[in-house]
Amino acid sequence: MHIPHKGLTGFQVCAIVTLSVIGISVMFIPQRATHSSGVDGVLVTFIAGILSIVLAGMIILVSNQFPNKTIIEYSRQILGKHLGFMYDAIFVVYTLLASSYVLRGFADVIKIVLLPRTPLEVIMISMLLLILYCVQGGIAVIARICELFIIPILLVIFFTMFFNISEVELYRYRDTLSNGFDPILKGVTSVTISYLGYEILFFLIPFMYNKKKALISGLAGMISPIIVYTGLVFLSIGIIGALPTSELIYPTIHLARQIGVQFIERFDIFFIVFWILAVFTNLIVYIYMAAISLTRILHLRNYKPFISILIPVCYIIAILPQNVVQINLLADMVNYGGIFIVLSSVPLLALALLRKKGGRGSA
Amino acid sequence: MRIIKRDRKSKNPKNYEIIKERRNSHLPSEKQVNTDLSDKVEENLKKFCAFLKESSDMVIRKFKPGNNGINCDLLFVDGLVDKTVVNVNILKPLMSGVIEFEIKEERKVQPEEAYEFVLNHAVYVGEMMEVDNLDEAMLRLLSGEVVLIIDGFRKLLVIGARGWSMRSISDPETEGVIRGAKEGFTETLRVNTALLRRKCRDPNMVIKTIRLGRRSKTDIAYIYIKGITNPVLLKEVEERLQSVDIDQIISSGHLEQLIQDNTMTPIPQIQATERPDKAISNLMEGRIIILVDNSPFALIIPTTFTQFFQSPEDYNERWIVTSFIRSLRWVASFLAVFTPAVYVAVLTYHPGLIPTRLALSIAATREGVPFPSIIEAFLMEITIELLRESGARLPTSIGQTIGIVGGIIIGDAAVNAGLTSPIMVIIVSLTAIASFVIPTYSAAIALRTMRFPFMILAAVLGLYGVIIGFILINIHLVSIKSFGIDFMTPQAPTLFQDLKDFVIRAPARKMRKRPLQAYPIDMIRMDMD
Repeated sequence: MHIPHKGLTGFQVCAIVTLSVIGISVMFIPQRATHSSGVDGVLVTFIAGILSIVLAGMIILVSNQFPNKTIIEYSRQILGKHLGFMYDAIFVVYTLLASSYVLRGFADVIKIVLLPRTPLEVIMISMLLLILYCVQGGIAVIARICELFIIPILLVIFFTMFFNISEVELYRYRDTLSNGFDPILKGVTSVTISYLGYEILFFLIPFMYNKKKALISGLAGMISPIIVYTGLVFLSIGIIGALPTSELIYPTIHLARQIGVQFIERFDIFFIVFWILAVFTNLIVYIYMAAISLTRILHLRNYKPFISILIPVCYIIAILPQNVVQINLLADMVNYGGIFIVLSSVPLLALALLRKKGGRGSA
Repeated sequence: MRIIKRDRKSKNPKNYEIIKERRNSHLPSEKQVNTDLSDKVEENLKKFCAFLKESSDMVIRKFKPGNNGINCDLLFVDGLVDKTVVNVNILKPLMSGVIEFEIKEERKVQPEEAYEFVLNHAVYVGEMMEVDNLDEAMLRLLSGEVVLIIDGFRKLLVIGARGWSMRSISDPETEGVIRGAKEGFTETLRVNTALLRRKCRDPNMVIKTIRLGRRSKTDIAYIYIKGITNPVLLKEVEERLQSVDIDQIISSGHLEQLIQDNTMTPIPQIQATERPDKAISNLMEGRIIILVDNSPFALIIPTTFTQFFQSPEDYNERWIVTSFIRSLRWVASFLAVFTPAVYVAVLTYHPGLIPTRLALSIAATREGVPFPSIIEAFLMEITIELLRESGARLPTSIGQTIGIVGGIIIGDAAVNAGLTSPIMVIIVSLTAIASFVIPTYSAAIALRTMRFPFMILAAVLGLYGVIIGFILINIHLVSIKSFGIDFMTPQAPTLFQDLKDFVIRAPARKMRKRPLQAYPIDMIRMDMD
């Protein structure tokens, strides 16, 4: 039966953006924020959030110039054939690396917290098979999964935060801004990386039902990550302290462990269980982006065969790093790629507007 | 073997005749005779007899009404017709009424006018029609109508005198309510449509009937309200019904599987109901009801997942109470699927998750149990499924005995024998009770079936496995459709307006619009001021 409004709704876009931002970074954000800027981490997280909202807005604006095309198609219009192809290639490599990085980070956490004796391979492969099944359903299934999961995920995160508030000791914040604005500037870059994920907005606009809602729903999707991240950094500093936080690998798990609910002895396991949902949505979004950008580069329509090709590649990249140093190398590559891509929205927008004024754009 | 061989070899034409005749007599009857009607009563009767002479329930009454003695034959199936109607309203006027008429009018009814006369003056039955082909007449004869053949005419008269013994309308057993109507559908299609008409006198309520099943020719009625039901949905339903090509429709559950969207799933995508009130309220939401003759269950099309958690009772009670019960049902559905799996996972992989004292007491009770928890869980869950199934199949009196015996075995003996721990007994009974809370039987068994794969996942990958299974089921649920409607609406895709009748049921006055799930063309249920 024909459904009156086919396409993504505003709420779905909002859910996809929120979950692809929160995903894996929710585990590391207090460590990242405090590592580079200490006590100022709270401010830094907030400022980085605002910066990310602006960048997300830029992405939507540039996509709105070409409402029926994904970035892969219109980047060639803006940048020309060769430059556009290079840009698109960066996109594919970035999304693939990012999904591998998320997968590896996820498998590490699961291995440490949930299944210490299960090999990484089992965890990764089971997750990838699930992703394979989900992404086959297309953007509609991804969007519905996101809107189903967003409520329980946010509820558990807010629950964790709420039950920790009483533990906060305010004296830990007294050094805020004692070092001037230098640590803030230094931190903003590294924390902005944690907000990555909203580059999915490059792809969502053509699938939307009501394209006028794109800006408002995309930006609304960025609000809860800002609240969650800022809140988590605030709580970590207030409860654990800035310096210890910066030395923990998974400060968020530490926060969750603090909670003593009467019927659940170790709340962190419970938290992880819901976090798996968040990572899963994060991963399907990245794999989908990789598959669709690869398809569109080759001027093909059906992206489904590419998923089966991309998933083994993703697995191999994720399993390759042998130690933390190599994982960090992968992380750096992902981060630089991500920053490059979200920042590219600004020149892309400028060029698109220029071309439009010049009358050469065919959008 | 030898006899047949000799038959084949022999050149005797007499043998050939016999073989041919034998073969012929086992061919379907329509290949034996020409099915065009003739104007001779004897020939027409022969055509009927070619089909029905071997059946003992056929009744053929030959008689000659009037002083001219026009040849007439009355045919009906014994047991399907109301004999009083046949005797008093058909045979009596035809035999004595015609004579009386002739005496009064002082003329004889001529053979040429006999047909018109019978049609207009001589039968005291409301439902009568002319039929001019054998197929139609045969079908009506076998559906319980009376066929009258009059000499000299190519047309047959079909007189409605259906009347067979049927189950009376009774309390719907599978969907009991406390404050709702106590009548349920029965096996007879006409009674069921009448039950619906009694509840809704809207002339826009359309009851269309088609026949499905090449041999069974089962009547299928699909019912909708013109002006509410989306025509696209209607067209889809009609197309799917017409595409069914099978010799027999066993029941509405069988038809459901022939027209549903996805086969590879335990989850029903069409809801069945025994309750006319539920059917009517679904019609009012723009859905389509399918009734199958001989089946006391109506099909509701399209169905979404939330509907399995709704009961007609919900609208009879206050909204706060109802909302509480609704949320209870959702919790129950999670318990029914996940409790044994989470138990296995926690015990095997994450004993740290539960409070230390509880962990210690569980460990103490499991002291003598020789099996790992997954075996224990499987053993107990299968036992309770066996009990449930045997209780459902046995007659009620023995069924209760099974319940008591099972209760003793599960509750006490298994624990004393050291086969299982008391905690496991609690888990199993909690699962069983929770699964019975879900109002829709077919959804409840689907959920109950799912807990076995979940237990395996839990045993293999712990809580991670359980979550993987949970995600898998969610992907599956959001992917499937019911007649083009996404199965998980209103959760995904979220229809905010429909969330009024989801876990929380809004007060009746607040539900001013129809739910959007079936995309009705008329949205307003209540005036908007």
